[in-house]
Amino acid sequence: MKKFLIVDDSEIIRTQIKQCFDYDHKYIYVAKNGADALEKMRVVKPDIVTMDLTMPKMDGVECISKLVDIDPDVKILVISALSDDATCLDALKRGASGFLDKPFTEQELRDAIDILAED
Amino acid sequence: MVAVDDIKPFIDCLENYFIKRSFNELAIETPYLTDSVNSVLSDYTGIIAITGEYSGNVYFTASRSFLERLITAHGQSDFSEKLTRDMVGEITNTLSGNSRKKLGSRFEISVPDVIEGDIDEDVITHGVHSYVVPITLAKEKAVMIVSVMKI
Repeated sequence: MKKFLIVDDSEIIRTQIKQCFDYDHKYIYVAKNGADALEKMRVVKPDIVTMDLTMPKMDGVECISKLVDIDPDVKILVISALSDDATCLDALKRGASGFLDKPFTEQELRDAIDILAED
Repeated sequence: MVAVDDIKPFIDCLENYFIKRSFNELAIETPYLTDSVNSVLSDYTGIIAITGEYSGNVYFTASRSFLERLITAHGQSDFSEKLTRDMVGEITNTLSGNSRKKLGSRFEISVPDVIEGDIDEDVITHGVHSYVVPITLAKEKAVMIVSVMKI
């Protein structure tokens, strides 16, 4: 059973993402910022991470690098309103596996997660 | 003051946000001009600072009841101060990011701030007419204000 980690400083978004998941919710964990995400990464060892980019304390791009350092096999789906080419490229270079624009529909999120879960 | 065509990307981004969230009953009304940003502010306001070739602010301001409707639509029933501010912050954050992609390097767009009630005069862009874009969602009101001038 795959484990998921949702990283976003917005409780609204964390709940929205969690509700979109078809997977057993007991394997879904949340983090409010980059530092929280690193701690959860070490303890929970998620298979798939959804990552916001604009967060306090540590932004998403920096967090992506550190998560991949902990587990190079982790799949990271960036979910952000900052979807310009430079930002996308930077995130992918750091180790992100995919990018989903905010705002997103439930179906778009499920499709993106399903692709990562198949790998 | 920017031309009315320059605010269309912001309106498109705002409309896209509500369409993606399936708020098909959203109505975006005809923009009008104002000299006083504070006169159109509502209970909570997200502010995006614009720099670069243009300077000023974009505001998304909404009543508590508008935001509560959105919170409910996100599957939550917590109408606390924290979640209400989170809601307006998330809309403004999305508007900020999406606008930056549409507008390109002419506009440098900040991470938004969230304020309750009136805004300090030193935060408001002075000496520029502001476009006010009224929004109605099932009788609840919100407003986007584009208060930007070309440098």
